[in-house]
Amino acid sequence: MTLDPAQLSSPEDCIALYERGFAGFYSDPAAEAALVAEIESKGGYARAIGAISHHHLYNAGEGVLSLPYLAAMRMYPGCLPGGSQARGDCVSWSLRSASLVSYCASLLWGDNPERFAPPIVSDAARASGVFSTETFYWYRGHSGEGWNCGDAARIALTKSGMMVRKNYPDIGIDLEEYSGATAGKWGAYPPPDNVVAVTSRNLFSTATVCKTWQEVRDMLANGFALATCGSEAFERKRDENGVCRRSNSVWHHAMSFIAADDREEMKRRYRCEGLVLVQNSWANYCGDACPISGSKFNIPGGSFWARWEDVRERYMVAIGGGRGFAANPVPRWSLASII
Amino acid sequence: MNRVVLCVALAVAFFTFRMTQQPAAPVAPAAVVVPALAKYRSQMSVEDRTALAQCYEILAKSVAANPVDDPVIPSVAALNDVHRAALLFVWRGVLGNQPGKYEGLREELEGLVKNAIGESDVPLNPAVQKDAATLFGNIALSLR
Repeated sequence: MTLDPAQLSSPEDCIALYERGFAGFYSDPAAEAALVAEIESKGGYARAIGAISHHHLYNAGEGVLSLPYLAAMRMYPGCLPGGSQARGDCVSWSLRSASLVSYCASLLWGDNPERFAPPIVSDAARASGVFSTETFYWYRGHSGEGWNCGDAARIALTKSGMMVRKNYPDIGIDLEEYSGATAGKWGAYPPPDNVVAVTSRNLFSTATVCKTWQEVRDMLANGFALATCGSEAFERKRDENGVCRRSNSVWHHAMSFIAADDREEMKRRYRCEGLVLVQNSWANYCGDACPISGSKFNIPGGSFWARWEDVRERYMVAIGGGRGFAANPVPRWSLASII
Repeated sequence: MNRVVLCVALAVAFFTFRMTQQPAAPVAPAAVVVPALAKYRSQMSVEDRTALAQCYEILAKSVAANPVDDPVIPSVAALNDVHRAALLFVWRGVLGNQPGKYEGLREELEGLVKNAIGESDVPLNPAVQKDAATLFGNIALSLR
């Protein structure tokens, strides 16, 4: 059966397409260099180790379980995995899931000096991941399928930030629920200015590239999730702890890292430097939510733990900060009828 | 949310009753007197300021104990509701006072709380939670 990468109707289609060698992600060193230049032009740290040192985040995740995705799941129950990709736009799914986790974690556990708030969304929007994936993909720069994480992260800093899932009548586009057809708009030609004006309202302010386990672990421990691209494939069946081993196949695929496990007992059990929680974009293909060993929390549906040694070669970008959404005022301040 | 407010308010009222029969709980050493409340300390009856101080001490400890991974008070609006409900129970319910008994006290308390926790309804993060607990402790100390 021939599969059209622009029309995938189920997670099974996604798996089949990627197993056959489809490239949802392709490496682009020039794009990665452009991201570094963009980060540095804004005064940021292109490598996570710089940000970790500057902000004294070093070893924040050492020896512990770090679960920043809980912030997103608490604010928006059921928001992950957010459905299933319907075309070769895994890179934008990876970026969206990472940015959703980072934004919610910054509100819940960061200082939030700007007093940003979680946007209110419909149930349908929540089930579709709260923020749009489609808008990132409009900027991929070609009319085919696939992208790379470096360019996508640069776009998140410059053109398309967090787009709340809702109808946008001013640009004639309804983003309340994910649509592969909508994701396919534009591409070779960039979106028009009126669309750019809307997608750039809530840009991200920071991103940083991670290369070591310490960087990944400590960024996640501080609430920064990662968009990652690579060619590793994984078994579909989780073990009793939610871990999926690397398989012999190849997926040129993007997925998010949304938690880290640096506990000694898990590292001993899996003979690894640590475990990272991978959020895929194929609905619940590898199972529903399942418990974390030694914890009262569950991992989201469609996610799995992977050994660091199985994912270390991926290109990884931590996403964080950004122009968030204005909060409503506290409704009842007055003590007039009380004291 | 209403159930949470009711439970916290009942707890405040219960412990306010109880604690009036016991030695005052120690005030956290970090607390400092709020100058704006000094004049009310001399104006208020011993019963009023003791009960109000106890109410704020309990609020300070309760807010500081709000669990991070499963918050009972999840937002600034919820914290504000808890504060209002606690005052309602103690001032109106326990003491039987009328609003406006001490001119200007209401405005002072409103201003202090607004400055500490802000006027926008955002998730209650650890920084705001700490600021609120500190303020409530300071108010308690100022009325002692």
